[in-house]
Amino acid sequence: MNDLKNTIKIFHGPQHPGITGNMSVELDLLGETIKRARVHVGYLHRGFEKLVERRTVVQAFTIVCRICVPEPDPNEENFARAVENLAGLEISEKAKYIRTMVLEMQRLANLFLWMGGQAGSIGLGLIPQWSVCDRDYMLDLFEELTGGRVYHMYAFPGGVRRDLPDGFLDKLSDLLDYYEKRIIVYNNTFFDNVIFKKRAIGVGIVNRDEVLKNAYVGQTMRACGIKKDVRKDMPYLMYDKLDFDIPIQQDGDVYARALVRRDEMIQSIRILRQIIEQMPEEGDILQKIQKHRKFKLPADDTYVQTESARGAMSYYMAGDGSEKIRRMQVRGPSLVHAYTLLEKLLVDSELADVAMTMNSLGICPPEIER
Amino acid sequence: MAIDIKGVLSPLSAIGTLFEHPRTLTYPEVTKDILVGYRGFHINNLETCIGCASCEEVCMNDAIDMIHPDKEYNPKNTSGCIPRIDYGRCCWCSLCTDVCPPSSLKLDNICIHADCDPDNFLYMPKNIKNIGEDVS
Amino acid sequence: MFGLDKGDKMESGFYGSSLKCKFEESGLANTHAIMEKAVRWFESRSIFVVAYGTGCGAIEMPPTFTSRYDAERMGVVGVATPRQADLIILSGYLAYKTLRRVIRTYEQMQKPRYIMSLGSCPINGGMYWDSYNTIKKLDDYIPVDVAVTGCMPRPEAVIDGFVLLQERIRNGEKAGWEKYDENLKFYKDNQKRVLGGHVDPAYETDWYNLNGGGIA
Repeated sequence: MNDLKNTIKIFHGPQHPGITGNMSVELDLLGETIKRARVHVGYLHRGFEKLVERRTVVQAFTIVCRICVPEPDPNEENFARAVENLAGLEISEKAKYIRTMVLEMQRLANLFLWMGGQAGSIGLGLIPQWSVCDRDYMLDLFEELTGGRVYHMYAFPGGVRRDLPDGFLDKLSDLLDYYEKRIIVYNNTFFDNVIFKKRAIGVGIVNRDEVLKNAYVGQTMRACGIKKDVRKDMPYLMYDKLDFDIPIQQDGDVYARALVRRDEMIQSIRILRQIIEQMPEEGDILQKIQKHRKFKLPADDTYVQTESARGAMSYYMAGDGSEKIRRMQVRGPSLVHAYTLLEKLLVDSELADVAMTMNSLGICPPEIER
Repeated sequence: MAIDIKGVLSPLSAIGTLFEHPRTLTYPEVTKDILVGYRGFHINNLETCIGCASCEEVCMNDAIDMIHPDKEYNPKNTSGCIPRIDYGRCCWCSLCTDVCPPSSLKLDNICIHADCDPDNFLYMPKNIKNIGEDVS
Repeated sequence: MFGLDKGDKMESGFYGSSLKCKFEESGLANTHAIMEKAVRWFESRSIFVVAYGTGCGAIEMPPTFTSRYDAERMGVVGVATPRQADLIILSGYLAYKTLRRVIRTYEQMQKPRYIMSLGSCPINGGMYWDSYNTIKKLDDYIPVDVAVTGCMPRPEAVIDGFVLLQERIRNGEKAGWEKYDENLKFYKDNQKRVLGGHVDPAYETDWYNLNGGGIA
């Protein structure tokens, strides 16, 4: 450990404008170069996996969406699908289309929020002002559909809770036209910007051989040239009937991940347009389930996966014959990225690149420690 | 060494937004209509509430208490109690409105309240029949 | 616990165990009344918020501070360190590990300083009322000035909270930091009990009047 002889230790700590949540990174600096980094989490632990065991299945669906704060919908979807697998419920085709639509809308909203965070971390304060406002228009649509802006509590085991309002699909279609024009503007000011290219190319390169061994998921994996996505490999809901591509890049640095996310925005808009055309008129929204103290889960277990905007999110759920869930285990994309990958990437990089790398890997602290 | 001409000049197109209309909602002067269907504060039609306490039984945060009112509103109310909600526990999931048998408990679309004393957050729902009406 | 007696108050709306918003005059000297009033008017127009996203509600902070609901019209701007700030927004629940850092940040802010709490978790426990790692009632540990209800509160509700705080500053009402100074032993005992028996001494520079919190 001779490298650490003359270093200064600072905390890129929980109270900092440059981190993506409530976590801290302990850095050992020699001048402005980082010699060692250690990640500290645990500031947001609530004990979800224990709280769920005290509640019945119907009561637990309301707490699950708070596991990951920027992206509540993949959690609700996983919970609903796990319970449907265990209890043997079938949902109608209209409900499947609506749930797919909600997942893709939420993916667009989260990618706009990412863009604001990534540009803000290098000092380009113009882009958060634009992109958070554009995301707000999507939250208005969510408010009309589900009744809440951020925590929707909408995907219920057996279907969805409310029907589509009148004129909703036209409003969504107008919003997608507006977004296609905005992506051209973001290309001009952010993705083609010479300052962003000079800062981001060659920083935070992920080694391609380790990706599958350590299970890095999401855009971190796709920017290294590996073409895998849960929506194509293990299709769920309506994804096997929709037509879309998986964008990849070859370099594996911050700029490549940004380009992969921009292409995913374009693919999401394409999927949503197909859903608007194919949405069936009639169908049951919600299958009736019994009173909440009588809805029992069989003594069985299941494992489900969903592609969220940051990677593959998976749930393991086991019941034991009573109305309560026996065990629910959540595996999100951020734990491995924060501990294994970030500590390795920050060695021999600059202090000013810490915020940019954290934003680019998509680390979300509420999901690391539930 | 090649200079990236496109990278230097294309961000300058942002200057064109100087002439656009601003998108800010200046909140206290201009209010955006919160849609009917938004999950806001509770309302309860006391003429039809039967005091069955299904809402208290399904709420997993223990946010609903059944209390005795000052006079009788519905002769069919067998237990004689009506619900009161603690907004220090409620999470606005609306499970209580889904299980209400006579559908008397609903969620209104107003949702804004700020106070300086954290002890003042026990709420008695308004006694109106439908969302959007007002007693006064 | 909340009284199942007959004859509880029946008018609809918010009520609780104390009267709404007691208006007490601050105990500070009012000798130069017009100067004080002018200073308070200017102070209410420029509230700086420390950049600390402590919980769930940090997801509604970007819309409030960027172009859609622009809180900068009222003079509310985010800053990087607690030495430059007047207000700390606690957006949601607090785990024990975060509570220790929040206390340290609050004591490093310079007076006059305020706390605003969002959501239903700091009021009575919220959704995590039976969790083993969260604080149930924030007012026992540090004094809260404005509490906003909602899960999560909309940006309009956060702006209403700012407006209420501005009115209280302008009227010169008793703020949380004065309560903290007067009842320091009560707050420090509660903090010590819940944080494992050891809490840092009060990060005060007013050693003559406050005795450093009773330690040192």
